[in-house]
Amino acid sequence: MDQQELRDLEARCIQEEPPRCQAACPIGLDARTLCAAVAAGDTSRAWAVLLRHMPLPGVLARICDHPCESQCLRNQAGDPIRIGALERAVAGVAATRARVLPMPKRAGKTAVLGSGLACLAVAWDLCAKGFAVTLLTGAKTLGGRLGEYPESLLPRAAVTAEIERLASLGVTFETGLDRGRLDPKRLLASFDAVCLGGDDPASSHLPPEAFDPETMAASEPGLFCCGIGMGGGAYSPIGAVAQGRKAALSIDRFLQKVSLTAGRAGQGRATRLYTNIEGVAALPALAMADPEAGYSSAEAAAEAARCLQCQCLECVKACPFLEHYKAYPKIYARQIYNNAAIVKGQHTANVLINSCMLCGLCTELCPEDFPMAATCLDARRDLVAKGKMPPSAHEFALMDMEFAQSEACFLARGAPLSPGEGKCRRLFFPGCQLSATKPEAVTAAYAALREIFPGEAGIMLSCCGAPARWAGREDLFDASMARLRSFWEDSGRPEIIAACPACLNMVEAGLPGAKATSLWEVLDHSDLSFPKRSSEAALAVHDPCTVRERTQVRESARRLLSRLGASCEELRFSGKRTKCCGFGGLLSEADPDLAATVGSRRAAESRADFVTYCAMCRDRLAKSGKRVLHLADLLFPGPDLDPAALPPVGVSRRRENRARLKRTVLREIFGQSPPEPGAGLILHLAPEVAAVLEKRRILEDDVRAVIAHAESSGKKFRHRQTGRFLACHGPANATFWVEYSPADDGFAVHNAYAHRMALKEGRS
Amino acid sequence: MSEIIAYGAPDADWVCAACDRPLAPAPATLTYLGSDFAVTLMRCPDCGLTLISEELALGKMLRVEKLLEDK
Amino acid sequence: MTVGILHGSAPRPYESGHMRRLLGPALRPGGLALTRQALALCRLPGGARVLDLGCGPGVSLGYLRQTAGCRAVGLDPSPVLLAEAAGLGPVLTGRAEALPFADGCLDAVLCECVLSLTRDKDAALLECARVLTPGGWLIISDVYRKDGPETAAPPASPPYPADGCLRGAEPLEEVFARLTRAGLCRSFFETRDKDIKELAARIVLSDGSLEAFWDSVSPGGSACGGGYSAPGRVGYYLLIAQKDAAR
Repeated sequence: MDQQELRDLEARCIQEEPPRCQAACPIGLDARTLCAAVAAGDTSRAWAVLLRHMPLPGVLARICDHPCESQCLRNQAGDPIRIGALERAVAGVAATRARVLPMPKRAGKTAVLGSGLACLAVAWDLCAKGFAVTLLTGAKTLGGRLGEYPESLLPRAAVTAEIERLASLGVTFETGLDRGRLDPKRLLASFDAVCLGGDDPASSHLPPEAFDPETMAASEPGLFCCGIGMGGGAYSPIGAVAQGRKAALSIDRFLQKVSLTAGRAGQGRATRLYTNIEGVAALPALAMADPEAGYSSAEAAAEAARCLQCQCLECVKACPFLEHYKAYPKIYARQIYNNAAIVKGQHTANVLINSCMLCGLCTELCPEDFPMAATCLDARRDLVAKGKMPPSAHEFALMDMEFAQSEACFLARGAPLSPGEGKCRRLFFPGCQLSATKPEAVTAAYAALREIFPGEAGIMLSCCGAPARWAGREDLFDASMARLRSFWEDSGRPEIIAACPACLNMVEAGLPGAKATSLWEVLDHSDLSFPKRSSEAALAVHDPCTVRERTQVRESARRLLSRLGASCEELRFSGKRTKCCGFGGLLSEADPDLAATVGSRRAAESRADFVTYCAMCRDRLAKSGKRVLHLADLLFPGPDLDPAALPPVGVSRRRENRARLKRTVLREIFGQSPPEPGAGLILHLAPEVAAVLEKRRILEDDVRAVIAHAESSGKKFRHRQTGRFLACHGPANATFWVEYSPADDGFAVHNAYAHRMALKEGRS
Repeated sequence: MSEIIAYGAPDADWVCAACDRPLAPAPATLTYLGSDFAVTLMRCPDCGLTLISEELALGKMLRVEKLLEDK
Repeated sequence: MTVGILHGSAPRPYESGHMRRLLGPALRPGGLALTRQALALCRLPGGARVLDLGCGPGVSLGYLRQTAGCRAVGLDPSPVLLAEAAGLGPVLTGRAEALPFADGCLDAVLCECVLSLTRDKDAALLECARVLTPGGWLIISDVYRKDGPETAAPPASPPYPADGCLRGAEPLEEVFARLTRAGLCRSFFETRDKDIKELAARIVLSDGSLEAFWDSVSPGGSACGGGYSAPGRVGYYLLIAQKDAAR
């Protein structure tokens, strides 16, 4: 990511865009913060907001004609916030003697002709920056039309206080002057800049012929104006102030001899901020007990509490990862950029980069489609390329992928018993996770496919490489795809049928020439009959995040559920807005605690049992204790009476399942390998021994394999006293030990145990 | 020889059936999830068949496996 | 290895033969490989003046002098360990809180599994900052405490054998804050949890459990073990900081 890309990215996130009120205000008053302060009863903070933005706050806050209210988003849910009234309430109670710190004196003297609100604003802004200002007027009293307001609304004292403040900051006032003194051309000789005020009746006889509304500069250099077009009924206090502010900025630049026009944002820009008001109840504005006096403090607080506090955070509200880092995508983009730019990486940003589930929900919800997934994935690739990716981040997942592609688990075969050797028109790709957690579903689904496509369906047991892609390891992903491509080409470029939607996405990305479809679509379009679900209880459908863009797959899954007689409930975030279970992007590797939170929050979104059609989603949700079915549990029921209650499958059992699945498929479907070692051996187990094996989840087949190996190789131990044998065998990820002794027709088994740690070969 | 004596006393009750020899302590390497550990186990001095008892497998080894798997 | 002053004459844990053999010759997770990595990141010039703070039996000291070509000196309060280290380079007795060196005279300070053993960590870091030349390097590898409600705060008094480093393990935020207070700027950081898990695994393979290990090293030691029996709650890190060049 370079600087320009960062800026483009930051611009996509609208969270820092101003709320509508602020965007509509000609002086950019932060009415949102004002409302928060007033609602909290924090008058000094509220006053500070006014003081930060407003010239002569004691005056303007009382009489501002609030264009902000017309843009207030609340007007889509009731009445707009009465911002003007709130400001008036604050001005009434806040200390008016706020300190304005004088700036160091700057060169350049300005004359302001007129003492209306616009002119006073010019004087305010310029003297706050340290310029010398002299205000000249033909009137005897200062304030122009300010004197026309009723005392109850704009007390004379308030005007006087602001004028006194101006005087204390060095503004010189000359009142009651005759026309001769008010000649702009003469004044330009003795002042460096002159501003003509149009909103002071006593001075408005000298409007400039032409002026530039952007800079308020008139035709002659050094001559500016303000308060223009305020005559008759068109008087607007905020308009006057806005003109005054513009003129003051121009005069500032003019006196410093810099460009008047460079970098001046247009006024009244529409904001891009989006605020979701779904579910916000419409509320009317609070009534005033005494309209002439305005809101009391309590009334103001209640009215200010109606403020929506507009902000976006749509993505943060939906995603625990974005919420976890306590910021929002614009900030994250910069953190990610900085992480890459610094030579030695920052710990926090690495974990952030590795924690995005890459699921795309935020992009879907974002009004500007902020690409968080792409940003994080690019950052991961960048870390890998620079050798900065901490190996521990994805080590386990990559090892698991390697195992799934290893000799013990990998299998690629064309259709069994088909005339073309090794060819197939369809290739079943169940994926490494379904093989690991529900191998019986793989065999059942493959049988179904062979029924739908007789003589056409081959099978490939492997990993699609998703862990490599998510880890930013494109080298490993390419190697993974190359293997698939090679078999795909050799077997006649079959249509790939994937059980797991993640595999579908990977195949489409890595093998663009291939036609790929989902197992669920194939089953949906078939006329196989499936058992009807006995339970009446509704199931909440959890769409895996990988089907976000795959409408057909989602619809097929639902049609299958309907065909199974299952009644379904739609979660609020489903379909295109589905949420990740916590496995996406390898979050469960990078931050297991956060992944657990993601899983439990999702599980809590409905009381109903869930049903899903991704093996990882099923496992992650089960890990949080949720009752969850895999679609395969309903289509191809197994012996478990309550598959929704099955616990998640542990690390080593997954590997055993994959290895055993390969052997089972080879043996039972392709008849292509020697039978399970020890098949046919007769075992005698006392009930307590059988119970121990059951508890330790050691299958009799495992026991047979050990005994067969020990008897044929002679590698076994003998107990000195009992004469029993003890031997081991470890075909895959676990090593099994069996204590046994010969019996008449077979063997008596006394004990069995297993472990995952392996003895390294290569010693004597 | 490794400091880590992983075997226990009952291991001495087993002999190598093929070589009919008692076992002796010997260096071995246990590995799991990319971590290697130099330990001392009981082994047949002739053919090198190495014993891992139930006590070791379901005790220390299981604890270590969980420890290494846990993040 | 800076060990605080113990009550009575209880044996110092790191002098226990059993503990030493388990921890390995470098007496800490990661061993020399970690030292090598850290030095490579600093790219010290030949002949750089380096202090091995808490040098123990001197494995890093030997490496620094013989392989890395540094003018290295070792410091440790344990006379038993220093006696071994003396063969590998010049050594001094002393404590981290009061380093017997002049201001700004060292290019690097190596602080391996030492900070967590130090009584006054802020004082130790200030001392390190003092003796480092501007732009000098401080290399810290140590345990840290992972956050979590189940992590018990370390017990306050002996006989917990900690003047062992687990007791001094702190959350990372506190470590970082201490560095900032001492005027040291973090320039590299990496967690090395695998190293400490492997150490815990070695202890389990040898002694059966972490509690049994602590008991063998110091009688009753595991009674205060509490949350530290769960190695998942403790991590290990490598951190390299620099003294501000402007100072």
